[in-house]
Amino acid sequence: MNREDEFIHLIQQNQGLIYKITTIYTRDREEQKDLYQEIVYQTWKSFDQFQKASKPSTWLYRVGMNTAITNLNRSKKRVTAVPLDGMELDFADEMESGMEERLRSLYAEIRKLGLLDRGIVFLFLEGKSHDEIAEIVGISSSNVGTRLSRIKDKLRKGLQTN
Amino acid sequence: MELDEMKSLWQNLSVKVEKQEKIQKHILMEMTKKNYQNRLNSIYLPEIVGSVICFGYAGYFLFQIEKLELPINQVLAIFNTALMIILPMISLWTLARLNGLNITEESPLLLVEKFKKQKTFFWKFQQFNLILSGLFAVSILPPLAELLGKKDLVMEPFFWLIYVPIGLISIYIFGKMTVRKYKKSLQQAQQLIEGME
Repeated sequence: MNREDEFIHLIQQNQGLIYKITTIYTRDREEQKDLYQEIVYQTWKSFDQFQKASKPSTWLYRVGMNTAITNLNRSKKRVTAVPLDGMELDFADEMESGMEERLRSLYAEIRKLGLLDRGIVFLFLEGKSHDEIAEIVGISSSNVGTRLSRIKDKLRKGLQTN
Repeated sequence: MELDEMKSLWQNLSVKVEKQEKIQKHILMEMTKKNYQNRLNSIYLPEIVGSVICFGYAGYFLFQIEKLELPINQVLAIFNTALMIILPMISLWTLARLNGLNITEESPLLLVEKFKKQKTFFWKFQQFNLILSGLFAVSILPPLAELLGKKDLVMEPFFWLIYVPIGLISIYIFGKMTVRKYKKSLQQAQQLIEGME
């Protein structure tokens, strides 16, 4: 498999992951599409490092989160994203309306969290262990535990009021 | 909604997104390559064009220095030539540093700290650049005037009363706009750090 095919395979295998990251770090569909393209671009740009990475999944989570965080507040000076009609980014619309509504409430509550906390809860919901979360976001495992319990409280309270 | 429900909701979403049709190869590569091209055109190209113009002028000055008769103009020409070579090089280097942030090796926390450090560096560089630009705008005129056969231009009062103030005011206005832009950018980096708390 050549470099281009490997890259395409990686993105295709992880397009759901990228989609979920873009959902929690953006406010609307346009921003989401721009961020999706930015993550794909950054992945391509640093793809050589991916091929040497010992843990590919950790690598992609980190690229996604770092790209999302460093691209915030750049809407005005952002390089114009490529308009692509063939790119669909609305999986939630295909869900049953009840589930879709609950999912939107969950997103809304997650978006109220700080940037790092958003990433931590995302990784938690993805089923990552405390150690894995610690490795990806760069804090200690015990700090992950403390932050997570605070985040869960915030989310629970926020979702109960909805 | 309880945590278990949140997790199961998330898993449902994950299952749905996995089932989604895979993004087409040609769309993916078109998107990536166009993004690369856009970035090159909008960020690097103006910087490269500006640098080429500066280097061109620097080359012109270098070959004309021996034609200058006044020693002071020779010194000023050397000073300006050095500025026209060094400043674009620093600018290109800083641009490469900004775009070279390692988003694969650093954790988000470290990355944002580095991000802020670089923005602070740009802020200081721009302030320094502004002072040098003012100096450049005034000091380039005497040797340029001599090269254009108007050696006595600098002796005329209107040169100092009109040309120099207009040049300095233009640089001040342009510089203020640049500084405001960088200040805003620095504030955004600070907000980003606060958002990580």
